[in-house]
Amino acid sequence: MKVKFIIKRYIPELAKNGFDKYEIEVKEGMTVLDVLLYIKENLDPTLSLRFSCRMGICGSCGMIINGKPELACHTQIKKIVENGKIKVEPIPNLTLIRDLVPDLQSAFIKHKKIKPYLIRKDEKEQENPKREYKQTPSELLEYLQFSYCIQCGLCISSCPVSSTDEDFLEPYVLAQAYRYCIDSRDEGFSERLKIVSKSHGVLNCHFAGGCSKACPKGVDPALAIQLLKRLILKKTFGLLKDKRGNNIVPPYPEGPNKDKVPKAPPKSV
Amino acid sequence: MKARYWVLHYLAGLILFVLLLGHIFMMHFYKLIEKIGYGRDPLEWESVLERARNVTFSTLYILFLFFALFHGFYGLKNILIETDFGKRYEKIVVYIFWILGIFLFIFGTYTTIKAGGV
Repeated sequence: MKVKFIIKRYIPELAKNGFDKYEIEVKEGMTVLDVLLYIKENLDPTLSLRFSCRMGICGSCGMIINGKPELACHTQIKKIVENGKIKVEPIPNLTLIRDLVPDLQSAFIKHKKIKPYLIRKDEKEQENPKREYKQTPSELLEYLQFSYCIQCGLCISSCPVSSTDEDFLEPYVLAQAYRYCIDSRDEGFSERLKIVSKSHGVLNCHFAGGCSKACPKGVDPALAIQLLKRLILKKTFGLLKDKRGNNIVPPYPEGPNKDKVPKAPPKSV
Repeated sequence: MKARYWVLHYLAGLILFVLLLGHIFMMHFYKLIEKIGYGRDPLEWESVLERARNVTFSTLYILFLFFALFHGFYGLKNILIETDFGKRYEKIVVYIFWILGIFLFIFGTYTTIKAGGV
C-alpha cells in the first residue's frame, strides 16, 4: 500500500518552514516512526526527529499525526491513514528546534520546580536509609496511575492554557505534583502547595480535559489537577493537616537458626 | 496565598448564585409573594425606601456588592493575566483591580448606608 507522508519541515538556518511530501510503500505492521526512520535513512537524511526506545516508554517521539497527538512509535499506519495520506507535525505550544524536534527544556524546568521526589522532614534518615518506607497496596494505588507519566509533552500540545500562557505549569507537571503530594511516604505537600498555587499554576487550569484525551499512557492529568485543587481547597479551610510520611519498615527479625548458618568459605583469591 | 483568593472566588460565585436567586424572586415573582400574603410591587417608592431602611436588606446589599466585585474583578484578572499584555503588566493589573474594587466597594457601601437615612 502506497501512503503519502506530508511532514512538517523547519530548518531555521536555511529559513525553511513548510511541508515536504514523501510517497512510501508501507508494509503490514509499520508504525509512523518506522516510516520516518526509513525516510531519514533512504530518502532525506536532513529530516530531524527525536526517538529512543521505539516502544512507547521513553516519550521522545511525541508528534501530531493527522491532527492528533500521538507517539509515533506506537501509531500503526494502517489504523490512521486517511485517503492514502498521513500528516506529521511537531508538538505545538513549545519552541521548535528543528523539523519534528520541540524544545522541552521549559517543561523540564517547570517539572524540576515542583520537586518531583519524596520530601522527608528527617533528611538524615532519607539520605542513609536502613530499609524501605512502608506502603500498603491501597496507598500505592492512590498515585500509581499518575506515576505512569513518560513526559512526552503530548498533554502540553492539547492544553488551551499552555497554548496561551507560556508560564503555565504544564498538565503533566501538575499531575506529577499531585502524584508526590498524595504519596503516603511524602511530607512535602506544603512546600509544593506554595509552588503550584501561585499565578500560572494549578488554579489557572480551565479543565478542558484535552490533556487526558491526548495522554498515550492513560495518566489522566486533568483528574490529577482537579484532585490537587481539592487538596488545596481542604488545606485552605484547614481540613487537611500536614501528613507524616510512613515510617520505615522495621529491621529484619533475627532468625531462630542464626547460629546454625554455616560460615562462608575462605576467600580463594 | 493565591489559593485563599481562589477559594473566595469560588465561594463568592456560590453566594452570588444564592443572592441572585433571592433578587430574582423578590423583583420578578412579587405577585407570588402577594398571593402568600407578603410584600408589594418592589419598585414602588415606599417599598424601595422600606428596603433601604431595613438593616437586613442593607447588609445583604453590601454583601452582594462585596461578592460581586470580588468575583468579577478576580475573574477578570485571571483572564487578563493569561494574555501577553496581562502577563507583562501583571502586578499593575492586580493593583488596578484592587484599587478599583476597594473604591467601588467603599462607594457602594456609603451609598447603601446613606440611602438608609443613617
